[in-house]
Amino acid sequence: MSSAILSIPNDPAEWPNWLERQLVGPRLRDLVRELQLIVPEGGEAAPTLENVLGEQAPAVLERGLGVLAEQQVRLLLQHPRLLLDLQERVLVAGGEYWQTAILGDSQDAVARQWDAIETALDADSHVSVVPFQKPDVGRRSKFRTVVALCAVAATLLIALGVWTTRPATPSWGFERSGLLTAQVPPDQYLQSLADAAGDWFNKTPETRIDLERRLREFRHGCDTLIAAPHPQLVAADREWLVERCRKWADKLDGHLADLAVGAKEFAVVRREADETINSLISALEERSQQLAS
Amino acid sequence: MSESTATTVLPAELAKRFREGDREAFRQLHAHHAAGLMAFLRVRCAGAIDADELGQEVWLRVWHARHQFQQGNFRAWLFQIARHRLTDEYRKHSGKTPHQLAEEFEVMASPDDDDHDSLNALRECLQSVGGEFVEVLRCRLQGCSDQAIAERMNISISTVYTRADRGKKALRECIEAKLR
Repeated sequence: MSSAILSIPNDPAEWPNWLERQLVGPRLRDLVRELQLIVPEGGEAAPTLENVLGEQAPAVLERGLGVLAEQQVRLLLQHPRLLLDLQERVLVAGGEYWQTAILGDSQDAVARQWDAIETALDADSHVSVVPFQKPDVGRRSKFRTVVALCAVAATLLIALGVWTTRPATPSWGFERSGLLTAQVPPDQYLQSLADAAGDWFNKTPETRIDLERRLREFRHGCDTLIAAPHPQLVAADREWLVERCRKWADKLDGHLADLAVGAKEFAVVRREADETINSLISALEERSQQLAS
Repeated sequence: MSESTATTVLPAELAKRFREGDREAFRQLHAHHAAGLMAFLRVRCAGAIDADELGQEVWLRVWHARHQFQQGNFRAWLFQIARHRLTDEYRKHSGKTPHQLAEEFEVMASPDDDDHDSLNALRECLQSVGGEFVEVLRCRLQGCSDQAIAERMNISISTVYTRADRGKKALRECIEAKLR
């Protein structure tokens, strides 16, 4: 396989078209690494993608790199890591122009993947949808009871396994050590969750990357909360908590999506994220007070 | 909202069918968004992390989490799930948390990669035969015109082209010889 950098056109006027193909093609990683060998980044701070694209960012998403000045394309090539940011940006938020380019040569791979997904889904449904049959003799009925009990036990073991083998995560927020297993009354449990959510305010993210990281970490905590058994709570409170968690998770996904597509200013997303977490804390505290009274 | 963002918003009917478990709606979503996700994962997966397997897993996760999707930006939601899975995989294989691109890239460039050899070959060939090609390319990337390059190298413009092409050819042959 030849080097990706060797395909760069001699004429800089052809770079936008060539770079678009690289962004949606299979060799972007090679190109980024190779460019790093050719133009090692200096000590000075690299520009951000926002710096480079400037006001053209929406037009790039809509109409491709042809809208950029030669100097902007040059900056992207001089700072190859930006190409990864740009790729993510156009894949997540690019318009039909990019979608058409992406589909180009990958139709077969997409079709193969769908076949594999369908097979997996069919296998899933065969496990979970077992046709009901009336019991005819006692022995078969007992056998079914044993099978059903085994299935329930296996499901519980898998659920416990999934919950307990979750990847290591930062130990703040809902990921605080011992938070979800503390043997405390229901009101204290919910209050401790509210306190843990307050960890969000221990650090104020000052950059888009920091905010995204912190949101993802908090969001991961929501997943943990949704998956946890909450033995401290009765069924109704557990349902309430999980239902609320899902809504909070959706809101956090919305903030992350706003950051990913650049739909809102960083400061706006940070303020909205603060509001989401404040309302989350209030809801937990209110419920805790209801349970205590 | 810009037009490009608007195209990522799922029509209400399709979103509803997807949430209710309509396999055909899911297939339509996959047909429309799978190629983009593949491109994303293939750049970011290397070594022990298989992009195609991970992609399939992400889509299964999307299906199982469909009740959590509200009307809105499906593509952003899909990529969010993919990033979570990717982070989990990075943690599993490297013990690192690649929240920052620099770390992410370090993982991507791990010596376990299949393409580590080709990068080494390029590095060695750049030192041995890549001088002319690199000099011209670096200069072009800095914004020099071919006329300026010619003046700087004290040669004619046609010689600039010749040297760049000759350097590129030598580099290609050197890399191929090393990888053979």
